[in-house]
Amino acid sequence: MIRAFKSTIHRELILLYRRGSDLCLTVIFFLLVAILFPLALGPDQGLLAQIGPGVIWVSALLSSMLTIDRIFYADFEDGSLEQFVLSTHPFGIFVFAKLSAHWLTSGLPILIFSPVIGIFYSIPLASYPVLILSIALGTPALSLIGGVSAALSLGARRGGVLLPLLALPLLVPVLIFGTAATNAAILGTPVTPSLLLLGAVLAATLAVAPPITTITIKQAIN
Amino acid sequence: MLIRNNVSIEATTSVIIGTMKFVGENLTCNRSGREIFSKLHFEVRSGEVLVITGKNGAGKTSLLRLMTGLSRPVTGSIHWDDGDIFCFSERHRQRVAYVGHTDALKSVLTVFENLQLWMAIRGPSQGKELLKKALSTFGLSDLRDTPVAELSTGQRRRVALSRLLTADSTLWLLDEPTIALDDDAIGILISSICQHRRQGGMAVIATNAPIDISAERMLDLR
Repeated sequence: MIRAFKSTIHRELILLYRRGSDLCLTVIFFLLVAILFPLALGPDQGLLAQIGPGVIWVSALLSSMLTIDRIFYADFEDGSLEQFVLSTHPFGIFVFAKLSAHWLTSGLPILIFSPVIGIFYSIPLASYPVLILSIALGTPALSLIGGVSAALSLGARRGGVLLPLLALPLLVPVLIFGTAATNAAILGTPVTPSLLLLGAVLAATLAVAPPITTITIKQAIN
Repeated sequence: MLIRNNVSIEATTSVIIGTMKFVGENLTCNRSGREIFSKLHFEVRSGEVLVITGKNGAGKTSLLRLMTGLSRPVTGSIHWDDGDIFCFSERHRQRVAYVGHTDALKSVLTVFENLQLWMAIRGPSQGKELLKKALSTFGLSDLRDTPVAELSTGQRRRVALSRLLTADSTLWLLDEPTIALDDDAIGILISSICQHRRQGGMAVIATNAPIDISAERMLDLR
């Protein structure tokens, strides 16, 4: 079972690496959107530090939306998902592996590049651990919730349009608590409540999202 | 719906070690609320081939998908002699290899990588030797390092069918397997099926094209 999990992640990473453009798309989009704001707003450091966490989170959310549809759609189209379902391993293993691979290729690059964006927004160095921790807790939730929406839109004719409409409202708590945690760190107020709430969102989605995604995909295949 | 025996079953079952039976009883299938077939029965035993024919839209693919367990019948049951396919679904998936309309191949991966990853995902690995043998049987040895994107439709179909030989499955479910295949490849497919049934396997083939195989059982969906 662990071998099937590893093989699926390996497969997803190879597929993405061979296609190349998809992998760069998330990072470039994230960096571009986040960098454009300081250019448009001017060099007011106070203002930038104030809006920085919000912009970083909105950019992270939008860039992970860009690639969310590729989690299942290509495999649904070419019949690979059917073969996953017919495997002797539980289908949930593959779903979780694919969601993990999505985080590795969208959430992790955002996590790595967010301190770079922090510099553009004059976010105090002391707040970086909280910024990084909040993104580390929040981005897996983005992939997990995005996975549910991607599965729901599989059977729909205009799935691509439907997807952000389904996913974005569900992602609002992640956005709110993620931004609140970093803002609190900048302002010197307690960060623990927001981080705990963000952790709670992650724990809840980790428990609920993969089974829902699994059931939804099986319905779409049926 | 009729089931008729074309060839003496005793003639083929004489070489079979351990007989199994795969049966569907009183099956009704609906698609988008429309009834496709009802009160359908089928039976296939070790060493036998069941050929399903019928005009477009008669429900050949739907019946095969019921047999895989991907979709459920509205009424009736599908079972092995030792249990229902939905109650013992893991055991059923172990016994089934399905080649559908779609080839379930990734175009950016090579032929070898596609099969290797598929084997890892499917279940307990059968080893690379079996994989090489499957490739050489279907005349794909020279193409093993070629990306699937560069293959013709017929060659892709060969790759999809070669997966049957890498899976240690009792029941082969083939949906229009001869589409896009040349005479040479059809010959390989037929001899593979014959070899499979000599070893006690069984095959169900849904096709509209005449296939030169002595099927013990025929099912005409009208």
